Amino acid sequence: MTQPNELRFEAALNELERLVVEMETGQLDLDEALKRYERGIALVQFCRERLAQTEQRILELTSVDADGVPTLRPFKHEATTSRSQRTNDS
Amino acid sequence: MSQLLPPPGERVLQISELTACIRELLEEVFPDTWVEGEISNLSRPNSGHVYLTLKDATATLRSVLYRGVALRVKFDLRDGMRVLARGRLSVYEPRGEYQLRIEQLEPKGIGALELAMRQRRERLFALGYFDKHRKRPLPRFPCRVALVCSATGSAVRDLLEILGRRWPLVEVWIHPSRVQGDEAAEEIAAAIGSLNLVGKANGPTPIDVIVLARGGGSLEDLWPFNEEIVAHAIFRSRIPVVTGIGHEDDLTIADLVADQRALTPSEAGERIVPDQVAVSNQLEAHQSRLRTLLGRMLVYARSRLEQLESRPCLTRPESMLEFPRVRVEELRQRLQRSMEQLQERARNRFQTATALLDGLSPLKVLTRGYSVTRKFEDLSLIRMPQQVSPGEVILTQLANGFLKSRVEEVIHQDSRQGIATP
Repeated sequence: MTQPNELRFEAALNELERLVVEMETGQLDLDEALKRYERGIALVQFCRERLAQTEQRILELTSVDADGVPTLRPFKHEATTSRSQRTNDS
Repeated sequence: MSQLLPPPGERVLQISELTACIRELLEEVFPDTWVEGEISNLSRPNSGHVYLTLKDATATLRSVLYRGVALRVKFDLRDGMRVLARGRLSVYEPRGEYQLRIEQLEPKGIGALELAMRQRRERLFALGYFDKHRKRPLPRFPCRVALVCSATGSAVRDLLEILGRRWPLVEVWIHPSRVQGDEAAEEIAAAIGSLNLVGKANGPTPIDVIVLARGGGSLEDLWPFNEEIVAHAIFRSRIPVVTGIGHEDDLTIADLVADQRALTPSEAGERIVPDQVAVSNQLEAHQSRLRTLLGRMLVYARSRLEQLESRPCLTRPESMLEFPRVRVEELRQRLQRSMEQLQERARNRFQTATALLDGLSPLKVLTRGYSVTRKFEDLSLIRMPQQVSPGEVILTQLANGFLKSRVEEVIHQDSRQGIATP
């Protein structure tokens, strides 16, 4: 149920933003800046890969038991591929 | 006193018979009657039936809404409200009262649904359901969103399309629900309720956002989203709720209670997830910013280095030795000078001291006519006459020799004054 990769995406982006800000304030010595640069580029790479790899998961929730455990099954929605049915239903 | 007797042949009716007759007559003549009046004496006993009196300036009409009818009335009945009622006139036999059995009730001058909505809105507003400060922010990058909508409508299709295009990283759960008709409100509320149950009790919920979505429709079609049960479910939800119901002009109660209202299902999709194109651009921007910043630091570092390299200590390191050399020479000279001074002073002191010492030497004194006298036997100095006795041998040292003599007499100074000065 947990998807650490997606949590990491946000964490990675947050860290990246922080690195840029740290670099911008200009308080770093060259070694520190180099370290941050390398880390930053790695984070950019990681985020790009995450975006490239993902295929959306679409599930139908059929029930939730007393312990809060959901029952899920793949959701099929034909209309998502054909635009012709788009006219009347709501 | 004459006894009251029915004429012969006259049939005497039981009360119930008469009442039944009246009832039949009334029901026959007024099977479907429309009346307009003002509500008064409204009462709602536990039975669920609603009793009220309709009146105008001069007359009153007892009326009843049986439970089934009362449940269908969308708005709240209140004393003083002007209404239009349709029903059948009948008789409540135990009391012998005629009454209007209302089958349909409309507020006068305004649509029933609209009035109901207005009333509900006021009530929920008073309960704080629409308070701005309880609207929760949506996560920037949701991991999982749940859609409560019809599994077959355009709403789910539009949403899935938008979500897939903008942010395929998000996992989508669909909780199918009817979104139209009498059961829809309960199903929607139940769906929100069960989504809130997912995960450990009191633990974090794995669902980041719930979307309530429905395509466009008439006010009646969208009615479930105006029902209080849905409003309560949204209000109680621990997961933020976003609505995307109908078209732009349709504002439902659910929209007002929701944490965010999107105008359409598609717009809901746009609100709940970021756009991957925008995020990619942002990544690109961050990357180039990092490059620029580091580049700037490198340029600065290089220019500092070059500046340092051009300093004399690095260009002509031997020049750095000149100063110490001069200083050492100067110090050496100073040292030498002070050594010479010291030597000179010491020499002077030595000469003075020798001269002084020379003057003090006993030998020098002897040359001036003084002598030193000792006992011959142990050479001890004789300082006073008492130290020797007559006949003792003494040795007298002069400037350049000795006299060995024998004492003839010891004379104390006080008796021979004249001898003390030579």
